[in-house]
Amino acid sequence: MKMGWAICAGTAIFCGAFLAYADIGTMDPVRGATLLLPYFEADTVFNQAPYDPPEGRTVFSVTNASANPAIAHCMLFTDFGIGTVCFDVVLPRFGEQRIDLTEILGENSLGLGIDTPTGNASGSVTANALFQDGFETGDLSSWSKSEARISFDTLRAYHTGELASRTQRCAGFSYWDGLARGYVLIDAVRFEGAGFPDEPGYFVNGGNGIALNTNVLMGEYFIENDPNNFAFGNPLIAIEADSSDPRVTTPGHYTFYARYVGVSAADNREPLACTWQARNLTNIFSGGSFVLYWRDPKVVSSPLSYGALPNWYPLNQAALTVFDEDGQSQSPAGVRPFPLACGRVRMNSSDLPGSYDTGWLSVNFNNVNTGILSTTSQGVIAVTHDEWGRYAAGLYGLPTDNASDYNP
Amino acid sequence: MRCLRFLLVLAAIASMSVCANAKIGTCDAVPAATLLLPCFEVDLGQGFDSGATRTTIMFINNASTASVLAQVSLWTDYGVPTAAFDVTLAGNAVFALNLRDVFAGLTVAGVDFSTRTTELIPAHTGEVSPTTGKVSGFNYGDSVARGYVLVNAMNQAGAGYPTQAGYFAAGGTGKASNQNVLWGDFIYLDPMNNFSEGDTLAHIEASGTDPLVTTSGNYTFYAAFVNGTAIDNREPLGAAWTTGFDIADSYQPSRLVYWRDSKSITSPVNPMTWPSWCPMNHTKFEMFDAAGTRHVPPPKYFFPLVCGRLDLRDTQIAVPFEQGWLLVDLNLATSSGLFGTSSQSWVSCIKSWEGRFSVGHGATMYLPARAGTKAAEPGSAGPKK
Repeated sequence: MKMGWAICAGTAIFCGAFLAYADIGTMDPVRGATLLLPYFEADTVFNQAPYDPPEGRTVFSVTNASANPAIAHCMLFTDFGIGTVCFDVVLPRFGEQRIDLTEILGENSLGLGIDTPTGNASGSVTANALFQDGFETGDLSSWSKSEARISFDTLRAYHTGELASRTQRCAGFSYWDGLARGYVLIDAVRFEGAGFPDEPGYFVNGGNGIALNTNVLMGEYFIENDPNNFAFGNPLIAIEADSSDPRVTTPGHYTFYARYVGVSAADNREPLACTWQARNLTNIFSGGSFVLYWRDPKVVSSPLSYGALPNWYPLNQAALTVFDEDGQSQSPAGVRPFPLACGRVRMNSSDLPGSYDTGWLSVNFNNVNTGILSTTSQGVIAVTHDEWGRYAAGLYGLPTDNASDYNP
Repeated sequence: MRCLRFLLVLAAIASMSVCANAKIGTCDAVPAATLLLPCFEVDLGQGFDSGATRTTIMFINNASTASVLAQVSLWTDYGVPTAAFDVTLAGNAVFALNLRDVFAGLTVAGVDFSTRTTELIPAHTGEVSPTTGKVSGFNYGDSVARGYVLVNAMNQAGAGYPTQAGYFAAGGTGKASNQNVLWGDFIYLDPMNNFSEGDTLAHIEASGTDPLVTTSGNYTFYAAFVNGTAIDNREPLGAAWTTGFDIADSYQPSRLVYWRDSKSITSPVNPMTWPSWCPMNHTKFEMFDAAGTRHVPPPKYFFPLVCGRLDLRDTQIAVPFEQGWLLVDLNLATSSGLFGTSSQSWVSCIKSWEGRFSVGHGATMYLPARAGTKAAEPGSAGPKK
């Protein structure tokens, strides 16, 4: 019996040693069951002149850190939070795949159908052409739920905020600049061909649905602006799953996919932070400092008629304060600098006003009331500092809380 | 007495609200009692032109509304401290430190460095000190000052170095405090080559109550300086790391930036000699291509110092593929000093391509620094939930 206790205790200590470093509710860079690329830009109208490089190019990698094959289910969403297309990357043990979103959204590397003049989509939807530069081991398949088979034209229109001629719907904010925008979610899944997270059976408590609770994925991304020589990168946000931690298994708690699972916590995934801090170096970098953000609208959205905006738009924040280097502060009133599910906003602009050339900002996103989870609202902030024509430096902001802190 | 209790409770609530989600033992970037800039470089061969010199700039913030005293200390890549100065940060204030200014002999935080460069520059470039005849860092022969920076929240100004007795006392009652109120980031700036990379500093939290960092014999961040007594109350960093890499660009391949714990208090050494712990070995260094094919470089000392950079195009690494990801376990291969083979570290990766773009970011932690934990086969015996 003593031996039994010793084994139990030893096991507990062993598990404890591992569990302590990768804790649910902390935004630590470890492996996750879900990865988030919080914001991407992909030029869809480049190469239309002899020298016309993409002004926005986002490349991300997804890595399987396990000794068993894994399926990474990649889902693209617009800045209205609308899922547009899914595809699966089958990763061998310890395998890695790099995915260029400019190739998907600018060059149709997924091989999606093209709208014909009669309004129908044509062409093959099965894609294995993403990685024409040598990768042969992986398998890639695409699938779309928003329509039977989303066409390339519709996909591009949805992410650039334009009207999709075939569906007569819009799915994103239009900046009229040809840049496709949005975010990417990547889940470890049981089999290929899954849809979006609101699909019945996608999440079942304990990782027993299509999505798994195996924390085996990790990845990185970079965003490049070729004409300006800007590039910055970060690890993808790793979101851990846990089948036993009450913080992510108790119905009513804030989990990452809460809006998709009716706040049942069936996804078992940790939420992100609500309050963030980020540096402002406007007077040091000639191109200025920009905040890149991702937010949770806490609503599952669908494509809209032309000119319409989601009923949650513009997202508000609970607090916004800008500080100078001496700690003096201003609280811009009447602005909503982070109105979408993701985006980029310049510091010291009319959208995000402030009169301090350098310093930092603090934002609390907890002012989203859609009938669930009170006003708590998770998000992510990164910042990039740009020197015109020369270089950029980008990094994540600093979280100071977690959405799980506000659980009832 | 009641009033005192009430105030104590209020203070406790206030301190919790600064960082309710923080967790001792995780590598999360949250307000902390200690900040680490894992590696800096200042190219002294380029002079001190503000628009040209390759340098490192760090920013230190006070996350609290009350004034905070912080101590900034510079260390060489042998782990020898060379300078320390105090910064008083008003509530919510920022202190920006361009390392170039220190080596240019400017006044930084009220400290005049003009008379100290004759010692600082040789110490950080690995040259022989003109006054002691000793060496404090590795000499690459390239006039680049290297080292790392530690920032501690303090109770007392003029405290000396963390290696000195009394600097730490349990519960944050020494010269250093346990206030988790500091946060910051840094930027590597190379104007001549149009490169810059940014990342958050390593945030090292303190706790006067968590057994992980209050139990004597546990690995704490400053364990070597407090003889393993855990009186620094600071969480250790990770020990094994993963990151993607790319060496396709022959001009600027990926480089790893590392910081390691020598687990020793190191003093300057005689010329042509090295600290007793140098070079440090490692437990595992392996690379994978997209298909998961593993490459294990030959057993060399790729990470010999307390801090440095490793060019992944190094012919000794001989990586047979252009891109992929890597796992590096910087636990020691052979037992040395405190905690046997366990050894904390920090790793980030810089990727540059086409001579125009560069990005830098921290690696993903694979294992924490804890006695008895080593990176096994990736995924097969790694941490599981």
